Amino acid sequence: MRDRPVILAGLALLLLLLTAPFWLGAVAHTGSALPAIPRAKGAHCVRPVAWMRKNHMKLLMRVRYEAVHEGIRNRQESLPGCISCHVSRLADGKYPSVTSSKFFCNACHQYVGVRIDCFSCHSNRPGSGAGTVAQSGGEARLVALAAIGNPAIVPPRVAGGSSTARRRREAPWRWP
Amino acid sequence: MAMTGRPAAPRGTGHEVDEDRRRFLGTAALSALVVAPGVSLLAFAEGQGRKQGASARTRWGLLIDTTKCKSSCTACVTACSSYNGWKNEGRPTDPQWIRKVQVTDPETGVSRSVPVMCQHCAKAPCVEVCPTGASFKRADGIVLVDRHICIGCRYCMMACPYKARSFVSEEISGQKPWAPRGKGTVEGCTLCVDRIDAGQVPACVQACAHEGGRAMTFGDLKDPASEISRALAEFPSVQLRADLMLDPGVQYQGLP
Repeated sequence: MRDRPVILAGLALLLLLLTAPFWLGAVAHTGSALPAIPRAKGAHCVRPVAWMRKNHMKLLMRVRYEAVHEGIRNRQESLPGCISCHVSRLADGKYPSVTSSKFFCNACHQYVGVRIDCFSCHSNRPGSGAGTVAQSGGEARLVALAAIGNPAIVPPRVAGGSSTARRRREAPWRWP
Repeated sequence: MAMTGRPAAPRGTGHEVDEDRRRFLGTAALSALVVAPGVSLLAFAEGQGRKQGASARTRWGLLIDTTKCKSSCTACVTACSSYNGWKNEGRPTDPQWIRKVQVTDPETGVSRSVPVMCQHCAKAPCVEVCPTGASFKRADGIVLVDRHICIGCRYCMMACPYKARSFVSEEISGQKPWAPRGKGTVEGCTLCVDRIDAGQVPACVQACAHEGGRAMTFGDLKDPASEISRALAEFPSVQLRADLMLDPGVQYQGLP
């Protein structure tokens, strides 16, 4: 019976040791440990933010199928659309690298331990891709020629010509 | 001839079944009346929100007049390369979405330079052999690789008689936003599908018209009034390796 204080102290110490990871974590994860999500350029997202946090991957899978297999392309609801709004130049004037936590997708994905491979194929920068590869003379020429237009070529018939023209104006990454 | 050999069903039970049936049909019709307007509304809403995609009423094709194609000119190759962001530095594994081939008739010595790219076959062997369904034909006849599901087995490269596909064996960066491409997948001419979906002609056709000899005509093979259909009707043309009966969407005129 004389050992009771010793035993109780020992038990308390054991309890503290067993729960140490929890306490240490609580101390370490106060304040700044939540992911710092870079601000987007646009006024609002294509869907409510709460919905996007949970379902962005489903939306991406759907628009990917529609664009590749069915040829239904929507400027805003597309991976280039996301990139053009969510990826901006850093303070030093460069775009964040795809592996850095300052890259929009990584901010959360690194936090939750999700690895994506979208950007091994897809461009990770907004705009026409300028700055990622040197613009060759050929392309500059092609762009200039596209601006002039060619009466000899009969443009293919696409239903709703006016909406096509509108899409062309609205798509800065496709029509540099 | 009289219907024989089958005994008539007992009258009493038959009558009861009829009643049940009538009641069921009545209920079904009523529920259909209640549900149908909702369904059609849904379909309407869906139809409003969607943009028109590739349609089977169209078949995109190319007509190449080889008499206008100079062997010194590579405008189409350069345009394709810079628009889609691929580079051929002469190594055997380098991509070649489009290439110039010199064909000569040994009998007469007549020689023509011919641009060769994916021929967008109606019965594409690359689609037949693909084990994952990554190699596919769109409704409007454009043969594409869905690189999301391509496993890089290269069966399609073996199957293609035109050597139109190539494999990306190294990591690449600086892709064009409209032309994603990456290591471990097979790629080839897409007929500039993003431009077609936006109502423009492929980059090679545009470049040929401005810098080349205006040898390429692009259009809808199913539309008899299109420029390509009229040209096909006016002058004789051939498909490459027509003996394979793949019905390519790319056709040539003036070959030796």
